[in-house]
Amino acid sequence: MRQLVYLFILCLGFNVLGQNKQLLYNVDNLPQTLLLNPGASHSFEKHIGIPFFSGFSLSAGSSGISVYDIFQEGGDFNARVRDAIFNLSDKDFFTVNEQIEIASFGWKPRFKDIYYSGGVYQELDAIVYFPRDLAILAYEGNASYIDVPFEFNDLSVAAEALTVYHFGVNKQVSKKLRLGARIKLYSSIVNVNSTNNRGQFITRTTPEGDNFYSHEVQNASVRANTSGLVSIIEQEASPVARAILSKNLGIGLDVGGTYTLSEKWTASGSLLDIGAVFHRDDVNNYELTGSYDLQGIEFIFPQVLDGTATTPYWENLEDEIEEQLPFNDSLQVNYTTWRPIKANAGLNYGFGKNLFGDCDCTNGGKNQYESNVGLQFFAIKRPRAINSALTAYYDRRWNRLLRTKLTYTLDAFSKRNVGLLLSANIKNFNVYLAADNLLDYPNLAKAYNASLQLGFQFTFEPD
Amino acid sequence: MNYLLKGTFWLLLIALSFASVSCVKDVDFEQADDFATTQKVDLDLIFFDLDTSNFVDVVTEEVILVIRDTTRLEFLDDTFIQDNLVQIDFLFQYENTFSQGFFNRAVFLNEQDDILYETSFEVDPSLNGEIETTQFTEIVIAPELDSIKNAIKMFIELTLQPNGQPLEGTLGHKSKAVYTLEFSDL
Repeated sequence: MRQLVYLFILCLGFNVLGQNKQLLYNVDNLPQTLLLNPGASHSFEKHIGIPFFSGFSLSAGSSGISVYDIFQEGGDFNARVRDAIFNLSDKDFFTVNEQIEIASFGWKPRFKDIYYSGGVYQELDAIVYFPRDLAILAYEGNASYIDVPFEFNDLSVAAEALTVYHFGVNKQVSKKLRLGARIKLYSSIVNVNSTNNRGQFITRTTPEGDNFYSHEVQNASVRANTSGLVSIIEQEASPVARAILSKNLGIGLDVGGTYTLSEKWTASGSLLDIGAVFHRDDVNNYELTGSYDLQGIEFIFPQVLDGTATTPYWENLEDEIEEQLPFNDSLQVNYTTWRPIKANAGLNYGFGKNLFGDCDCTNGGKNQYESNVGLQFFAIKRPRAINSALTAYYDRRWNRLLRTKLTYTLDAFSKRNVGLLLSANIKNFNVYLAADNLLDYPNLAKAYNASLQLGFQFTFEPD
Repeated sequence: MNYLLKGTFWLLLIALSFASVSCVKDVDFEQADDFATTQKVDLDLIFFDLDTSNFVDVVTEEVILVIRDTTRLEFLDDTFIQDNLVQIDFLFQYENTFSQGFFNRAVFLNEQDDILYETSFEVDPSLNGEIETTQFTEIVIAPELDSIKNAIKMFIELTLQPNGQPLEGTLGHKSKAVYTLEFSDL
């Protein structure tokens, strides 16, 4: 119970669509756009990031509750906690995502319209669904919920920290089409996964039964897989070596493209992290399976004969439960986790001054307008559902120094998410800062989610 | 290097402008200390079904007036129960078709078999062989509750109350308890 409450309150601090980087998508002067669409249009022909500083992003979110909802001053704190537990659904979740680019580079070979890019980044991604049934059971007990099932599939957690080595190719394959692909090697540092749980607990009234109730655990199949965790916790092993290259490797692919629909219209799309991690080392699994029906202890009132021991009811009960509902914490079974696949799509309309000049054969038909508006779509496959968001934006290059992108993002959880990107180029040095949910900045406690991206890097654009 | 300085200056300026308008306010995290909830756990306790054979000695075939059975209740010793249990609501129920009544004792004992807590009641006799239902409830709170918390075993004892009629019938027992637990410290 205590742990559940801690988890609940802790999760409030991490608030949704953790990996949506709508502010960086299709921003063609930032190399990070290639990580969001390997087939993105870009204006640079070489880039190199400052190690550990070229790209940092942090996002946290809650789909159903804010810190303020619980911890606002005044009123009845416990009533708010109770309301939160009952108002949140098992579809609500808490996420946190963090990425640090350790190295980032890219170049365009001379006389070729192809761009190679690569690098290394470290990522932490976690999602915890609100285990509503179990939270209610822990918070209030079963007395008010006779004949109401508590579902174990409410328990769904996926968390991983990993290092990603990647290399991508971006090529103009025709006058109108640019395609790209990025191959990724995942090196898992720590993974915790418990997403396909089944079963239920119910206290059933049994008017014709042996006792008032039947306390039933039905078809329980609750499993948690971990890798890299036990050695850190029990053997205090350093995660640094695992961060460089662990034995839990995976492989993934990003693909994407940009299509020029007309002089001013372009469409783009990408699929990211099509891949899996194979956990083979430092693996531990925890499993509870089976069914059990408890109606209390049945006294048999044995007639006491000399030398007859009393019936060990309690020990028998414990043995019975262990036999029919075994909990195994010593399994070491390899497992595979799929990366959360992500999709981006965009439709862009450019207007105003064409920075590449009028379209002619001297500029390869490229258009780069000082202003762009458009729509972007983002979706991510999560353990329970596909979460999606729609963004409208206005992107403006004010001069050679400053570029801004203003976004309005709509998703199931927020209808007031306004974000802003500021990107400054001083000659070849680029610095960018992006943040969303700006309307909540006056009081972040009221925000359901927030994200921040920033970075320093050198980008080299053609003269 | 000049680029770096200028870039850093720009970033700091931008970050400061964000920071100047962002804050977390009107919240009080100290309220976590006030967290409290009440949990009510409703659980079956003991059940049995007896008939005439349970009251007749298998060797001498004489009537046994007193029968008793005991179980350990290890969960009473659990730290969570010890720290948070504030009330127990017992419900005992008998369905009796014997023409005789019974006297029921539910007794809680420590490891040394010392009686720490006891509750008792009469089980009504059946009229005309029909099922006679007796229900008995008992609410235990402090200070008596501490006696149960210190117990580790429980027995139920039934004393037959002869009435000169033939000993024939069945006696069914159901019992449960609602454990009220209050947490106030995280």
